Amino acid sequence: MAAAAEAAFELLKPGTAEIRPVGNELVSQSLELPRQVASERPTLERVTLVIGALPTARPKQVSLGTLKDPQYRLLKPIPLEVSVQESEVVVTWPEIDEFGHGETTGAALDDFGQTLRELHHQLYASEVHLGPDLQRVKQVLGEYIQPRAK
Amino acid sequence: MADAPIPSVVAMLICDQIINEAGTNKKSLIGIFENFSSPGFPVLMPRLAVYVKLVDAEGVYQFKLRLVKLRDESLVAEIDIQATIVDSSHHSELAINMGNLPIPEPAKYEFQLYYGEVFLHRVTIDAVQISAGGAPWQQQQKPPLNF
Repeated sequence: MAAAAEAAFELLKPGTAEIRPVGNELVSQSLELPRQVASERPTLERVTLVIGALPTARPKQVSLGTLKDPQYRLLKPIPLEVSVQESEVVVTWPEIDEFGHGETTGAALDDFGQTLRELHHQLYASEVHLGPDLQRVKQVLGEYIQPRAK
Repeated sequence: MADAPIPSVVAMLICDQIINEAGTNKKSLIGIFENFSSPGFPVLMPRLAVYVKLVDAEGVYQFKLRLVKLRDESLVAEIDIQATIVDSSHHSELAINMGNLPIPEPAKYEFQLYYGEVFLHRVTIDAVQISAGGAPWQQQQKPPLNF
């Protein structure tokens, strides 16, 4: 079954919508979809597939590259340790002792991302006064997380 | 890749097919779905496509798309994709068209996108086993019994 699997990928440029006025009209009133010419269908090639033994995809460490929030971007990946505690997956960032948990690694990463967003929001609030420990946490977060310009 | 910025995923969708319009580069995603059904498993999905829209990407990236069965987080399939993105001021789009992707059993699965070993995004799909007569909405209703 695995031998039959195939795939193709393309890196594509953003599309451009074209409005073609009819005659002197500035706006086309047509409700028809524009005619489209499909590009040549990419040739599918065989890909590496792991079937049969089904090894676990749950790593012992994972690097997180997203906070799933368009307001923030990560300057470098956050190194996390992955463990299972009481049938839940737990991801931990030892540097600041923060964690997230969930039924799966993905769910735990989502939970961790939300925790980190809330922590960043609280520590970077203008009126907050922080002790030395939280100052250090704030500094570490600043090395990894950058708010996007609005 | 070490110096390349971490890209952010602003959209990741599963569909039957991605068509790229030759003149304008507009993409059409045909048949977006998140569940699928089959009367038997294991099954080969004849066609499946993953569309990814990225921001903040510039440089050479080794992406990895993994299909994982969530019950035990076992790896079903893995595809390596190398892409060179030259201009981070525009969004970049990845279109991955696949054929005959094996689905071992009815369960929840996840497509996970990595760059290198860095986790970027995930999308869940649900594979459901149905009776040979088709999905409930496809089965012919029996006439009422008359006594």
